[in-house]
Amino acid sequence: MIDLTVIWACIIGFAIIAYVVMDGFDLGIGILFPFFKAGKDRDTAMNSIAPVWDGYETWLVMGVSGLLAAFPLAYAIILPALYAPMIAMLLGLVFRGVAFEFRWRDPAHQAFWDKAFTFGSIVATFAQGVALGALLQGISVTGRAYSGGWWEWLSPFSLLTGFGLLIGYALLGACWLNWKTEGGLQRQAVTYAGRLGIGLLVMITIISLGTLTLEAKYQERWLSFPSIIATAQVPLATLVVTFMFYRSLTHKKDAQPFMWALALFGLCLVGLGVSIWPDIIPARLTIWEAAAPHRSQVFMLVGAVIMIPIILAYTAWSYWVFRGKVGAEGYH
Amino acid sequence: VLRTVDSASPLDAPAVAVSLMAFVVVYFAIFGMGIWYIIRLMKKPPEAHEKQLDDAPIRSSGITPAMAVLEGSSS
Repeated sequence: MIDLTVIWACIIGFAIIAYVVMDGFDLGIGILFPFFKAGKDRDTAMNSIAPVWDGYETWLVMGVSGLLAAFPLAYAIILPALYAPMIAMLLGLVFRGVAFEFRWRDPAHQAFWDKAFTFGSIVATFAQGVALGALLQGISVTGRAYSGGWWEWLSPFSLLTGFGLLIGYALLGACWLNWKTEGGLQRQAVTYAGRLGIGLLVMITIISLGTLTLEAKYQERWLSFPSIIATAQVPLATLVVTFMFYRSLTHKKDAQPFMWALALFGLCLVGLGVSIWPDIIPARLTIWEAAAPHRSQVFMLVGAVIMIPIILAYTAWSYWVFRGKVGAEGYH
Repeated sequence: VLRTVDSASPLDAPAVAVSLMAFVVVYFAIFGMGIWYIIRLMKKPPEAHEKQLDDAPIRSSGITPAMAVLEGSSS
């Protein structure tokens, strides 16, 4: 029989990947926003994401509510543990979302709303990175509840993952602008993408090595023989993908650098999977221990199987409608 | 039966209070700015030969007609 718990873990994993694919680049543009010339360049950058930026909400809601429905115990432990970063992320997203509307409607205060856009993007990104670091470094669990304090999520490691994600999303943003814009803004984006690529590789290396020191279990997974033959493929693939990324960038490809940057994120998620699978709270709780009863899994799977293809179809359609290069003004 | 007290999360009350206050402050600030903006628009008296709406497309979704909005609201 097929294990529904594994299927639900895959659906939530998919929601996380979809979120990073669909929100990473537009948070990245928010992070890079102050570096673009005020006026036309910023308008173009904003226009390049305006039609598609809010699609991320679907995956955020699906990831979190899927966690509640399919892994209620994990939800009950993770959310209290990451309460501060999660609230910070939501407040950041509020500022970011309204900035899209206000900066056009209220040109007199555009400079203020540009700052709100950047502020919100940085807070939301940093909070996500911190949340990931806090999950990896371990959460205190007693019985069936979170037993850490207010500040357990805060550590040098979680701050490091926060900064790492800022660089990663900024890289996606730069690659997106290289794809969607032309002229001076595109050249600027290519320069940034080149620098941020190195930055991300450095951060991936530091965070990966840092992860190994967190739990004996992680070290055993990655470094013990013979599993190292399989796990060594992840860093090797990272090097290959980085090489392909820089090759496509120097060959002045539009879309390819963005795809390779996404592949780097994909490899990071594979690495995360190698470290923690099949735990949902690392070293504390496996997916089977946290899973909802079989009947609720079946009930929700019916909804998910119908809805996910529909969401993917309309999302793909909206990206298709707004394909190609973007100008600073007007409709396509 | 699950009593409310048994299903409460282990979060301390001050933590929940702080986040609630943060949301109240942010929402009041943002909606306040929106209302202030609307009142400012209403203060502007109507003029003769005002632009037709057709000249400045109303934003529906997606890409904002930036230039039209900027020109339309040069107050």
